[in-house]
Amino acid sequence: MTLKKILYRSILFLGMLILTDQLVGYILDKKYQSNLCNFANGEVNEYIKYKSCDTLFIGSSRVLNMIDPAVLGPKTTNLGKQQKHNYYHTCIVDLLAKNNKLPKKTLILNLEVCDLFMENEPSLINQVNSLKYYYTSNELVQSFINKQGWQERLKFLSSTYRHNSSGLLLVTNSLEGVCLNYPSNGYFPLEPSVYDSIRLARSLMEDFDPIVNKRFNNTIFKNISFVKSICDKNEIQLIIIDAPYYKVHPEYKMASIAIEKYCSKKDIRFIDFKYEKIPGLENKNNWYDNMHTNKNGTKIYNQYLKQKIYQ
Amino acid sequence: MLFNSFEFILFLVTVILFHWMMKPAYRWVALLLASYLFYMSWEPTYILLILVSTSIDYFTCLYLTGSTDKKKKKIGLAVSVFLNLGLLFTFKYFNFFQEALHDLFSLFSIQYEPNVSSLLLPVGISFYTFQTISYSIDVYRNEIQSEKHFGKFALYVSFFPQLIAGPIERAKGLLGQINEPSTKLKINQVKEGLTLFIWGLFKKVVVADNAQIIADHYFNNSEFQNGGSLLFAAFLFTVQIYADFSGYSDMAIGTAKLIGVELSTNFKSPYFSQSIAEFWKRWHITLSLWLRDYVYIPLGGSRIGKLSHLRNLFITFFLAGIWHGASWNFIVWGVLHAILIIVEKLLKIDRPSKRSFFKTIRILLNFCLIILTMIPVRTEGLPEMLSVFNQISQIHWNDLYFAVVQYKISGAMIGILFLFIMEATIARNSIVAIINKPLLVIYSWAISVIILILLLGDNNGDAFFYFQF
Repeated sequence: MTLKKILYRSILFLGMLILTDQLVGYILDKKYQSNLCNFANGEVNEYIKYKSCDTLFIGSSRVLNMIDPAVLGPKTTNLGKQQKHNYYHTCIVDLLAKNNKLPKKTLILNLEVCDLFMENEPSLINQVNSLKYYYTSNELVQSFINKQGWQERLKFLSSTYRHNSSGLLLVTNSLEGVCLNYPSNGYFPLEPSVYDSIRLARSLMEDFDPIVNKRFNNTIFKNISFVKSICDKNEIQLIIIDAPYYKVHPEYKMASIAIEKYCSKKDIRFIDFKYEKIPGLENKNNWYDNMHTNKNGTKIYNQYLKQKIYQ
Repeated sequence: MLFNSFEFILFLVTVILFHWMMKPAYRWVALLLASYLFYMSWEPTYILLILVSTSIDYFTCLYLTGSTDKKKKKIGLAVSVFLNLGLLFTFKYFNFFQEALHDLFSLFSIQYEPNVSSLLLPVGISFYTFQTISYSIDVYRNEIQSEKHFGKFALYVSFFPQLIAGPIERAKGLLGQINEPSTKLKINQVKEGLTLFIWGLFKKVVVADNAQIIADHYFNNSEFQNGGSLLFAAFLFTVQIYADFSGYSDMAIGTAKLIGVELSTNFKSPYFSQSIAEFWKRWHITLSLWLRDYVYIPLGGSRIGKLSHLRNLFITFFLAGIWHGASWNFIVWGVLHAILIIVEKLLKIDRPSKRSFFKTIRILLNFCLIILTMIPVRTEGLPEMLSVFNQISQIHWNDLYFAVVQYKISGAMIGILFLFIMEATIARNSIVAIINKPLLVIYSWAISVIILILLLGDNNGDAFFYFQF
């Protein structure tokens, strides 16, 4: 084969590859924008397009499964998402602000104290990967994703890559008509079951490993400050909470103290439910595991939380 | 530095450029430096281990070649094998041995505090140890001459594409190519190399990593799962381990081709085997051949009576099990394979059937057996393994159906389907067969694979499963 032929074939192949990539990316972009179901950030799209509220809760599964807007009031919405923590939440707040979709009165952010320990940083950054679609349009998302290494910039030369890990769901679920809608207020209850006590016992054994690296991750404080500045600019109140545990890891205390200090310095209201004695939650039948209340426990917690917030 | 990382691609491009720019006589220098750098990217100090292993075999083999006294030669070989296995034992099996002693003494109510070592397992130690042992034995048997050039021999031991997880190369093949490097890059080798690399990457990041996510989800909470879910998880793990390991081998062979070196084939669609005996002719072929040539045949193979033949099979597979990992689970895995092969021999069902109906049935049944034998490899400790077997024995088929339906359209399942279709059609022995197809087919295949990698590939840069061996 001559050099000319090799060159010609390489260019032809690259051209076909780029064309296919752009086409797949374009189709998936369209699918993404029209998705309102609870996968591939459809719940965020739905909120941005159609919802508004006075009080918005953002957090991990400890919001998704532990905040029932039906208890807290009709103008409350839950935008919690499983296994998503501080970095992701900060990006969501930024996205909402850029789309003029912040709550009218109060933003309540559930902060996981474990996020404060430096050793969690790679997984915190990794969580932002589910917002790849916004890489080119949102600087904050881009900066978090780029923290993973220089190669990220190269990967995003591909349009298809923006839908890595969620693109398949966008296509297949819409073809099958699958739409995993949670209740419109965003709350996904954990129904009590016979396995709760086993799960609780197991998580009590597993969740108490000593924390190896006790250095705090300063990006968390920067993120809080960033969210606070957005809230101030839009004249809404920011409240940071930490949901209760059945039994708190002894080393979380120092992180809680640090957050409390920081919040008081920044004039942010911080309610630490971890160390509050909430009547009823000492009963293990109200827990799904050590970190999550079941539906019954959520009711108890939310009534208490309502009193606390509006007192 | 993982093969499925951008760092490796950058490293590889640099090595290829340097390699082909240098005069053939000095290419080994570039490759040796690259290989040592590659190994040091995991743990710099463990390069000393490779240097020790290299020196042991280099000097003992020089001694073996120089000596005519049979007794002295035997001693020389014993020293080489003993030292190599000693290193392997210290780093890989010491803690297991201590724990086994502790368990044994406990049976007789004797107190024994295990002396646990904190040494980390160096990646690839089982692979390069077996490679160097094979070299010493081949020199002892006068099948090859010992290598006089220390640098070239060091490159044979540490050649980076296959250093971490094989293929386990014999000196005859690899050392020969190091001594007589190809003078120019052949276009066919480049095509084959790129094809293998892309296909290996697809197997790893689309099939293995996605299958792992679901399999882990079930196995990590096995006590809460039903038999159906666990059987599905065992299927996924079986595919994961194959895609992971054969993906690595494809990338290793592809990488070597780009440097002008041909490595041995390590997999030939093993899950399309009709018997366990055939499976071992297609799975980790270089290890199977190693065990055949240096354990099974020296024990007497099949020529010394039926009972001894079965004993030899048992010993060989027991060793195959323990080679994989220092735990009872791997021993159980090896023993299970030994028993199945012995049963096949006794029932005379180890020969493949030619009629397509029986062939299909046998492939399916054999695959089911392989899935079950993979459970010891995935579970941690004997109690968990027994519990998983117990849950599967009480399976309700509806549970299996629901587990499959839940993930029927997932990255893992699409990847598995694509992999199996390719292996059943074009890529029966190797994916390189595709380069003989029309240009449109080649381009469509390559673009599909790249788009699937971009769309479905797991982006977490998970390490290869076989690195732990």
